[in-house]
Order: sequence, then C-alpha cells, then structure tokens
Amino acid sequence: MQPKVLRALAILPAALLVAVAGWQVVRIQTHDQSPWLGGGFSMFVYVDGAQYRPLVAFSQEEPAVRIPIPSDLLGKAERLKAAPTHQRAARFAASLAEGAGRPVRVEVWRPAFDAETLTITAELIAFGSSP
Amino acid sequence: MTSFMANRSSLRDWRPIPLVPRLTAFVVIATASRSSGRLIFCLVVALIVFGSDRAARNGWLWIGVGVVMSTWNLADWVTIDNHIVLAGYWYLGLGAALLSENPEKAMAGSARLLLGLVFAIAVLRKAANPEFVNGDFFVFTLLVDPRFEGAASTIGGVSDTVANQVAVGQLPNAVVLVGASGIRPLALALTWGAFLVESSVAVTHLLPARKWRRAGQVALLAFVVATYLVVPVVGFGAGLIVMGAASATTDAGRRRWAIGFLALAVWGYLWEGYSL
Repeated sequence: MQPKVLRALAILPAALLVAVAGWQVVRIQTHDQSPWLGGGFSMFVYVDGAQYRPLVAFSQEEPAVRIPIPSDLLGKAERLKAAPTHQRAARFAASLAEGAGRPVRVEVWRPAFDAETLTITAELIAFGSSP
Repeated sequence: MTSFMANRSSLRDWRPIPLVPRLTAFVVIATASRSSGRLIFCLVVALIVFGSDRAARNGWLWIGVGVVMSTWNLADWVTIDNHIVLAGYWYLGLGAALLSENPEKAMAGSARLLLGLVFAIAVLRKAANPEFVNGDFFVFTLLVDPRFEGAASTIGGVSDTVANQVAVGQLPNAVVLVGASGIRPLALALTWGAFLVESSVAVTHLLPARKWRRAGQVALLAFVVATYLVVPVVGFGAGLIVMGAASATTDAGRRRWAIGFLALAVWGYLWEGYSL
C-alpha cells in the first residue's frame, strides 16, 4: 500500500476523535445536546446528563394526566432527552398520542444543582404537542 | 474448523500481536449490546479473531470492523456512549497499524495518541466547567448516582442515599437532597484527584520522548484502578486496558494489562447492573 495512504489511515482515527469532540461542544452550546454522550468525552463533568433530564408527558385535556412512556418508545425518549428539539418533542408527542388515544404534550427539562442548599431545580428546554 | 483453529497460537502468548487484537475482540463484544444485528456482527468478528491468528493480524479486517461500527455509531450518534465511539476509532487505528511495515510500533503509537487525546479533551472539558472545578459536580454525583452510593455513605457519611435517588425521580419539581458534612471534602478530593490523574495520562501519552512511556503506563494504570474499582464501567475500562496493552513496551507489562482486563470483567460482573 502507498505510504501516503497508510499515513492518512494512521492519522484518521485521531482526526475523527478531535473533530467529533469539537462538533459535540458546538452542539452542546447550540442544540442543548447532552454533554455525557456522543464522543465528546465529557462524562462525569456536567450535572446535565441525559439520564437526569426529566421527560414528562401528559394529556392536554383537563384534568391533565401523566402519560407513561411505553417500552417500545424508550429508545426515542432517550434520543429526545439527549438532543431535544421542539420538533422532535412534537413528533414524540404524536407517537404517544396514537397509543394514548388523546392529545399529548411532551416536555424535556434540564437539571440545575445548587450545592449550597442541595436543591435540584429544572429548566424547560424543549416541548411539543400532538395535533 | 480444525485447520482454522490450528492457526491459533497459545492463549499465553504475550507478544503485542496476537494479544492486542485478541483483547480488542473482547472489546468488540463488550460494545455490542445495542441491537441484535450488531450483536451478531460482533460475535462473528470475535469468533474469527479468536479462531485464527492470521485473521487477528489482518489490518483490513479491523478497518472493516471500524468502518461498520463507526457507521452504526454515526446513525445513533447523539445517544451513544463515549467508549463505544472510542472503540470505533481504535479498530481503525489497529487496522492501519497492522497494515504498516512495523505493526507493533505503529499500534503502540496509535494507542498512545488516542489515549493522550481522550484524556486531554476530558481534562479541558473539566477545566472549562465551573461546576466541576468548584466540586459541585461531585457533590451532586455522590448524592444521586447509585454507583457512588458506597463511597457517599461510608466515606461521605450520607445516611439515606436511596431517598436522594427517589427525589431525582420527582423532577421537574424542585427537590432538596439529603447531604452530610463529609460530602464536600470527598467531592473536592475526587475533583482534584481526577484532574491530577487524567492530566498525567494526557501529558505522558502525548509527549513524544520514550522516557515518558513508563510514567504513562503508571498514570493509566492509576486511572483504571482508581476509577473502575469505584465504578466498573467494563466497556470503557476494557478499551483503555487494551490500548494500555498496545502501548506497553514489555511482555510483562502486557501480561499485567491482560490480567487487569480479566479482573475488570470479573469485578464488573460482581457489580451486576452497572457493567457494560
């Protein structure tokens, strides 16, 4: 094999590592992507891990009732928590509404921690409703 | 099948090749759990590598594994764990090294570069986050992460770690955690311990001079022991250990990493539920 090709192949993994980690930093700032996932090597750095982001679904009719996430939608729920957008939340709400048989609203929240008072609060970062 | 298996050298062969490709095959299995298609692919790769030294040292096989796994990772990028991404890079690096004129040297170089970059990025991300630097992140983690429950109760003095885990389930309503006076000093020790060890791994792996190689091995071993004794994340630990073995300069060093690999697998299994 050509030495130039071999050199490029040898450098490729390190180049990918740096590029993906850099892209993940941008996505955290611009798209609320979870810092813990996606090749940015920021696990055990931020309180805002996808595993701590509450995803809440409830019926839009009064009185509002919490809608449990069915097991076949858990993968989509994880994706929504890791990279929440209003569009993705609306699509997820539509999927939930099909099973629930009523209009559903979905919200994704981000945790914030005050170490002085040991209080965790949450900030709404994405929401969407089924038609 | 007999002739296929006859190609296999002793399992107690501590030379970089075939030891590192074989250990890498375990990493392939450890990062396979996302879908049945992925699991089947990974098991087939592992069987081929364990069955034949010739396959294990075939650079194109590893590049193929790297391309397939990285393509899978790309499709699932936002939810994928970092060690699965890192494993994809390592398969590509291992493949490229095995195609080179001096595979052992190239393999060690690739492992050192990946390890150095991973730890350098991890340290930079920590340094850039005030809630990590001031210790708040570890206060939070000690109180709510069940993997730190033992440390939080025995060293930190938290009386009811389960109550905190239940409280997190009440979010997005605001919740107040149960703390203890020992948590803040423990969190600060973990914060600065992480900075010290991780920056040592980064620096010793990225410096080109050979004199840093031994220090690099010690720093990586310190990280692996300190981290995975507390939180045995087998997938990540296995990847780091394989790259540690690839960058080791002696058979004795590689044997130690192989034993460490086995110990991590057993420790992770004993923890049950937090492995992989």
